Amino acid sequence: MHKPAQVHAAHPQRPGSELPGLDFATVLASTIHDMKNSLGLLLQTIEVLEKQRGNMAPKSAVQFRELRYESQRLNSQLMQLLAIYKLQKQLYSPNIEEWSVAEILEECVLEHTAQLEGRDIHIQWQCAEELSGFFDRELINGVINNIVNNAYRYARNQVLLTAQAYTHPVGSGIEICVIDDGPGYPEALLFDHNRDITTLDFHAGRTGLGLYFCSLVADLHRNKTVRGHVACDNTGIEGGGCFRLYLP
Amino acid sequence: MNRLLELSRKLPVSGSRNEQLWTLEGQRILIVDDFAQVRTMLREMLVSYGATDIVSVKNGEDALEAMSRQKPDIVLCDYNLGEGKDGQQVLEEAREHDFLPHSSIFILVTAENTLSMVMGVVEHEPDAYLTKPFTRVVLQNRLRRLQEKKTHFSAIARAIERREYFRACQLCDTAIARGDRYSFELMRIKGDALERASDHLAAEAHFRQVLEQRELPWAQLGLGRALFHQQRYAQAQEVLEQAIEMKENFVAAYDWLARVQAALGQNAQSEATLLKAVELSPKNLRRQKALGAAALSNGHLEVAEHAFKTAIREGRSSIFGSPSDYGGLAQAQIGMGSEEEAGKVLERMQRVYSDADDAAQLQMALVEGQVQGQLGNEEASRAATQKALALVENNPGALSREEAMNLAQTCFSLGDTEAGTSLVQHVVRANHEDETMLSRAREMFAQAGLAEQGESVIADERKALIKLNNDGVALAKQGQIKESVSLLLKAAQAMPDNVAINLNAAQSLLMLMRRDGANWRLLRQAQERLQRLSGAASSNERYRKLLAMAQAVEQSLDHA
Repeated sequence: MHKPAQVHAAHPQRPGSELPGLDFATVLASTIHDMKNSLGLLLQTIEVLEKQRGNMAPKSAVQFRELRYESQRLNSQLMQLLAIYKLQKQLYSPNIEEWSVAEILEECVLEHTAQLEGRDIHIQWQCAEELSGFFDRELINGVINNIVNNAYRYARNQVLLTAQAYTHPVGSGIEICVIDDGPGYPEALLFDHNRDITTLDFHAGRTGLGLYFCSLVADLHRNKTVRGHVACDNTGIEGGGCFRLYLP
Repeated sequence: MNRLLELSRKLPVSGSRNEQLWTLEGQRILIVDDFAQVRTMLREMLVSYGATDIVSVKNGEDALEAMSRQKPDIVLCDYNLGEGKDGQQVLEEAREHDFLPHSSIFILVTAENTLSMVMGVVEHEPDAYLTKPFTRVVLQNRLRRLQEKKTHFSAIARAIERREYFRACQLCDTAIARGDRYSFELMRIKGDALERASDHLAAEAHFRQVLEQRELPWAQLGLGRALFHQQRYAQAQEVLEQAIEMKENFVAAYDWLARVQAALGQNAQSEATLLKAVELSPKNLRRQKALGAAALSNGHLEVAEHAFKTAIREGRSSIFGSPSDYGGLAQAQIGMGSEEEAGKVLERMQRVYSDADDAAQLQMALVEGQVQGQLGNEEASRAATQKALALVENNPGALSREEAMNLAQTCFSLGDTEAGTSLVQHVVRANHEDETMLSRAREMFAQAGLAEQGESVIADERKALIKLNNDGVALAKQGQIKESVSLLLKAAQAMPDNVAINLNAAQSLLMLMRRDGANWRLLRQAQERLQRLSGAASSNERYRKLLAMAQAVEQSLDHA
């Protein structure tokens, strides 16, 4: 059996508690802002150091790359945490507009290619130029980056971003997929729209919390009565993971 | 005939493109950021793509100065520029001054945690938002795609710039029918074009159709505006409230809701709505002014004082700042019993606008005349009013109808009935169908003890207008269409908002084209007359008939 997830923002206060009432989520959120600032400085310093060292030995180049990669991962995790906080507290009002999907995918690929030069993983995108979708650009960028970051950890040499229009009896929209050639998602994280995301085991391997964030974001995207949703299966390259994001 | 539609659409692409083929050489680029390091970094990024013509400035004031010297092709402007204007204000004023031709690209650069805050509340959308930090290749990709999009829309944009709204709508329709990738954006442009053409019935139908496909806040707002222009205020109110439900920080919807509420006489609600909008976007000057005026008329003097103070502060280096902000502040202070403060406000206004142009001098004289009168300084009030009248004499179109009525009021209270009467006469002439305006005029005459004279002024103006219209129509009927056109156009110049004159002038122009053949100049004149008729007139049957005729002429010219 999977344990139900315990992801609640508001921390109930004990009656008669001595401490005045700032709930934990709020404390965490304001701390995250600080942490992100520090991390920003850290990332800048890494960049400066890399430039100063110029042509460094292959070994330190790899170490620098790891340093940069991990800091960036930390940064995106903090962003995600902050976003979850805002979504749960309903502090975020999404700006849903029409965007070119190819542009979003291409930008994501460019971003990651620049970040991970030197690693043996090849990232590509595939999408009709004319495909457009309705979504909050910042949030969906966050979702795709999150999944791509994750896919990098598991992929052997390939990560592929694809998108296409889908039609469904309930309503049509776009489907964005992040596909890799790794070992695939563990059984505990496979799900589709028939299964409630909060029943996933968040301790099982890959970041379940990331998936929770993705599903929160997808759910914010609605057209009339149709809602966005996410799904995971192992139909990727040679049985690798495939993450699917449906936006109406 | 239409290059936009001939553009071949790209087929599916995989992987990143060869960036070597693309260059920024020869593009005029403006960088606006308050940090020197950021400016340098951006410059290096752009130079690496062949940019040769880059200007960097550190604040919004310098940015506008640079744009006034040379219109840029690309602007990269940070949202947060420290002291002074922010990026949004730079964009607004650049558009207002026409520094940004349609082909130019304006990118607003924001920090990642401010993007959502900025995006909801803007009136003028930039071409793109770019979230910091971004890499060189992402910037390149964005610019390349924006350039492609600009080319894609250039035919439509040109039609709109030339005010060929019907043609713009047709281009949109054709592109949508062909399955253009930007179908919703085309629908948005079409809706705006219909509104600019004052075809509010068609705009209403259009926005309703869009909303059937998808609940989009801009379409909901468009529908609200179309209803407002048709003076269907109760319906407009409901629609705009729904728009705010769709997007809670939708400031433009608050602005229109406030206008609707004011039109419905719900002055307290209108003020409350503006207050909410100001909370969301405190730097917008026009909104602060609107709030100040609403609060002043509701007797909420502290709110008015605060709003006008903000307007003055934000307007210091902005084209939207005006002496009337000082006037509003002074009036709020007089109402609160601090006459001394109000006097100081006037002194400050004189210092700020000491070498302003005629328009600002006129505004200042109007404020001075009114406020000094309220302060009991009759001499100063008289001198300022004389100055205002002298300035108006040189330029009679300079006064809005509100300003003209206020100035007339001051004249009457100073005992200058002649100047007051002439001002009211002018307003009556331009608005002789507007009952609320006429009753305000009657009231003003009555208060000045001139009720009888007022009635005869109004009656005379009416008679003169009816005669003028009849003459114009009679000339046309006698086949002297050219004479009819010139008579009615001259009248329309003096009374640009008069419904009957505008309709008759448009009709004569259309008749002339039917007889002597159509051309763009005459058509443009006819359309201009029709565009003057917003409000209730847009559902007027004769108006719709003339509009359809004008559209048919436009089509025939297009195909010629």
